Amino acid sequence: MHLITIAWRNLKRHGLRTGIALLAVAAVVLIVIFSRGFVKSLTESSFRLYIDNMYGHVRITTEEYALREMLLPLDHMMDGFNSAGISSMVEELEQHSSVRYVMPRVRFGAMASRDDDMVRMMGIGIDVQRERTYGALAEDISSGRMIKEGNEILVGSGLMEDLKAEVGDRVTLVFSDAFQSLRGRTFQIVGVRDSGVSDLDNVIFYVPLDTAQDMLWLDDEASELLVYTYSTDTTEALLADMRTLLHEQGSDEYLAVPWNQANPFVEMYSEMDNIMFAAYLLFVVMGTIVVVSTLTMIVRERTAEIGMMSALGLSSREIMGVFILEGFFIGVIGSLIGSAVGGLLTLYYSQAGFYVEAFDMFTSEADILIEPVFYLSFSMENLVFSFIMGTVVVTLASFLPAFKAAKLEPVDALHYGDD
Amino acid sequence: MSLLTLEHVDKTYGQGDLQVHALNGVDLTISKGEFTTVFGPSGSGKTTLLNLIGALDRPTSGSVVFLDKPIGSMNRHEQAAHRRFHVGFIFQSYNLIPVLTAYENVEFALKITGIRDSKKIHSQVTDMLDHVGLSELMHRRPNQLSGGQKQRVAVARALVKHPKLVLADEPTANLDSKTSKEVIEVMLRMNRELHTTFIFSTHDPMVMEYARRMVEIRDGNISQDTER
Amino acid sequence: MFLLRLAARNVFRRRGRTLIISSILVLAVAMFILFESLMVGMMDVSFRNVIDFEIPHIEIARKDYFTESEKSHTLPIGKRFIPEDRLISDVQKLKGYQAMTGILEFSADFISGRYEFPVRVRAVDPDTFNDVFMNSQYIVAGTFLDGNGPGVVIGSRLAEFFDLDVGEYFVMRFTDIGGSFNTIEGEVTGIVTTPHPDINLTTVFVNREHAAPRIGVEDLAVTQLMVRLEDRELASSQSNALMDTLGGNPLQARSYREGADFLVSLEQWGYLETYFLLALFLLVGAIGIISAVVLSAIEREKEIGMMKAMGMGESSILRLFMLEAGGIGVVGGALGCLIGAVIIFFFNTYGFDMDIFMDFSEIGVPVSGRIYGPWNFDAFLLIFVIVVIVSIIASILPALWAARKNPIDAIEKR
Ligand SMILES: Nc1ncnc2c1ncn2[C@@H]1O[C@H](COP(=O)(O)OP(=O)(O)O)[C@@H](O)[C@H]1O
Ligand SMILES: [Mg+2]
Repeated sequence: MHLITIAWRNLKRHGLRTGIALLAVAAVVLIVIFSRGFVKSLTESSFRLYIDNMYGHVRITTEEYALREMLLPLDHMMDGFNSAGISSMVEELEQHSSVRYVMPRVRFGAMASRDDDMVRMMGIGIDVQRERTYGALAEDISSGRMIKEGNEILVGSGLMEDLKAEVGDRVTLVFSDAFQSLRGRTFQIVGVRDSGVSDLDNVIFYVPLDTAQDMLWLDDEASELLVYTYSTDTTEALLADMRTLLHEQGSDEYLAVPWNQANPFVEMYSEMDNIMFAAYLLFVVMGTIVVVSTLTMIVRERTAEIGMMSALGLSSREIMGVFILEGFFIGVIGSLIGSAVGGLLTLYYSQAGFYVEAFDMFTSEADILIEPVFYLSFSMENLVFSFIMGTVVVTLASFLPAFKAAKLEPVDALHYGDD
Repeated sequence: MSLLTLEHVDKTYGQGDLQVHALNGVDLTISKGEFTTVFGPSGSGKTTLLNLIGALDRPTSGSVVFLDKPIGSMNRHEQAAHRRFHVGFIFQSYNLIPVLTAYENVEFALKITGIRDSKKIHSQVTDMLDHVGLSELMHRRPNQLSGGQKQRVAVARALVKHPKLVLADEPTANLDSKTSKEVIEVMLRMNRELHTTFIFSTHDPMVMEYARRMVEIRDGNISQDTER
Repeated sequence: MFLLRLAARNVFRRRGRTLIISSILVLAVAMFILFESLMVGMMDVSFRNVIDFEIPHIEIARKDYFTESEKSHTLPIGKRFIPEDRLISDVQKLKGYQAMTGILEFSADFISGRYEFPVRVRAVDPDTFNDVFMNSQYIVAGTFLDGNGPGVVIGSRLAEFFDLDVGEYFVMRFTDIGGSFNTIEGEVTGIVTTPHPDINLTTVFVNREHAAPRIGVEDLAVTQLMVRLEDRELASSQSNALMDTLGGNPLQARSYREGADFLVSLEQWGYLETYFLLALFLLVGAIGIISAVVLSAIEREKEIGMMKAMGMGESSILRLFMLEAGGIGVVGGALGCLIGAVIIFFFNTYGFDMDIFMDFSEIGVPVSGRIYGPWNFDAFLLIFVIVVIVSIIASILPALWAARKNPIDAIEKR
């Protein structure tokens, strides 16, 4: 107890010196919180787009389809368990407790001619009822309405411009059916989708699933099933369930892939936190250096006092204790300040967001689903993680000067002169 | 001829209930060439008085005039300039610059007065170290010198720029009696040879013996002022 | 001068602290040098791949061709031209001119078996094409185009998707100049794997002599005239020079940089990131410097007090501390540059495998395999100067604080 008092008073002796050490710790903890909040929000919002639009939590396709996905093939469709049709498979999957809902989709290529130009696009046949109830699609409709049935389509906002069309217009699309013959059909545009992500908005239109099956000469088939569970965190459990189920049903030609392995970019980003850990640590170590140099000076300054204490019979472990405690106090208080400021900052920017122009140019040209406005993700986990990281590293580092202090010989210490 | 005049000088530290009246209406005149001691018990105001005389501090009221210049009412920068050229200081705890040798410590005092002529600097510094008997040790750093040697470097440093006034606040308090004697004798010799005015505070009777004028101070007042 | 000497000695006296604090700066400097080199190295490879396989130093086309081809889904075959002799001799007169080739580019659907995939077809004259582009050196199966046969050369990724081999049959469907669907059919004569991943998937090469009549364009018509120069540095200036001589011609020229605007914005984003990181490093470094100055001032309180008693001005004391901080900056900067140099040495000799980090080709950056960090002495100089300046600036406030402390308090402390 008396050691705590000594440590505490010593820190107060030179308020400015201690203050700067605190500032250093607070600053690096803040940097860690900021960076993690940044990476997290970047990945989270991007992941959500991927999950909502492309991969579900788990996506089921045939193996061949996954291999040639880029070609939008129509001949590797899924026709359900034992070829009993996709609708019954969807219903069967939805019986499972880990499954919240399932969306069957058919993806295909199509074209339309506008003036001299052939506009290329990707059609997605969707289960209107399900997408309307659960999916993210209905939220992003900027004008018009969701498709219902028949030859109605919902068109991405960028694609809409390329088609030079308006809601209510009719367009004729050209596409190859499952038998490789080129066909055409006229659709009515009933709505516009604006997700804010050009990669989606510029190429995709949506059509009712049965219409798609009909026009492409497909039976009760789909190219993919997007399976959703209740939260991203339980993806693993869902994946395990799906794999057992597929196996039980003897459908080993079907492939279940979790969202975070569906695309190399997503894969890399979901590893981001681990990759960045080294960078965070580096920053915290840099801040800790300031604390170490401060403690080293305190040890030197109090050489005579340390000599006195050990002459009085204090053990070197107790002497070490004093200095480690001082480091610990700086670590705790500094990290606390950093976490508090970091918490406020991330909270604010999780609402406000900020826009970086260079990034906008970058994302619109790269094949990545990311919105160009940055938000910081606010989370208690982030604050606690950074706080603990700051405290632990600083306290560990204070062992260094503490060792120095404990190693001082009482005789040398007492003879220490000021010049 | 008078070098320095203090009139009705008060110095109060702190505020409110915690106020300390370190000096109360001190009047004092110092003439050129004096070798004067200020003595009195601990806490009587010796250091406060020397600080005011040396333009290290300003009086709360009253005037301090140095050769017609009111040094008590100067601002920080004017005071610094005044000290630079006219006052040399010697303190109880030598206060040498640890990274400089004895020679360089003395040289330092000259350099900050803006002298650039290195020949002149060299001869003045070696002269002065010779005077205080340290020619042999001039390339040592402070941590390689004894207390008496350090204080003699401090004396040389105070005198090398030939100031009109040298102030020494308990210069021998950290030294044994033999070394104290050596240091005070060096100071006396300087006073004789260079006609520099010396004011030093002490409570060592043996050191007081050397003074030609003795000013006793008690509770912030001059209680006795005798010349011999 | 004597202030400098005094500062140097003080920096050396507490060499332990100097080293500890400057190690923050060392980290900042070494990290910056590494990042910068990594980025420049990556951009360098990317641009080289663009030049060698996609857009060489200068590209000449009809006005609006570039904007239209970017905007529309189908390459505007209508915007073609027949290079005049004037133009050709103008191009040949460019500084550093090496070779040129005409290209007729159009969009088509590549069909084989039951699959089809939209591709960009480059109808080329093999002889001159190989003087400008490097594709033919990266053939992994079959041969590059020769004569005027109907064959095509496709990229390895496309071949993989279609499960195609040399000698196998393909159809390309496109809209001809009259607006009706037309096809080119034949055998795959070669498969190419270039370091530019995009080319390996989306670009198909065919003889221009064979393709032109099927699209319905004139024998000599091209959409772009591609020019290779000796040196990348010349591209911008020569492209501008060409623009001037083109004058009233309905043509325009652009350099590879203008063509690869995705890379240019990636480069900007990379620099933004690097400098943002640097700013954070320097912020921590600045706090370290502030701490060093304050610690030093506390430790030397009496010494500073004495200097002030002797009449040393506050500005001199300020300068003394700033010089000491500058000294720490110099030590940190120099050590950092040294360590950075060691890192770059290894990076430069042994390279760095980008693929272990992420598959850049997936987001469209033309990089694959190892990259080698270049020596960039400007970066060393820049970061050294920045670190020293930041150190000095960071020291101003604490140095002011130290210089203005009351000398009496300081001296009295025992
Ligand atoms: N900076 C200060 N603040 C408050 N009180 C002071 C200060 N300096 C001196 N004093 C007080 O003024 C009185 C005179 O002090 P000082 O001149 O140091 O005496 P001496 O040097 O004779 O021992 C003492 O009571 C001392 O406590
Ligand atoms: Mg005193």
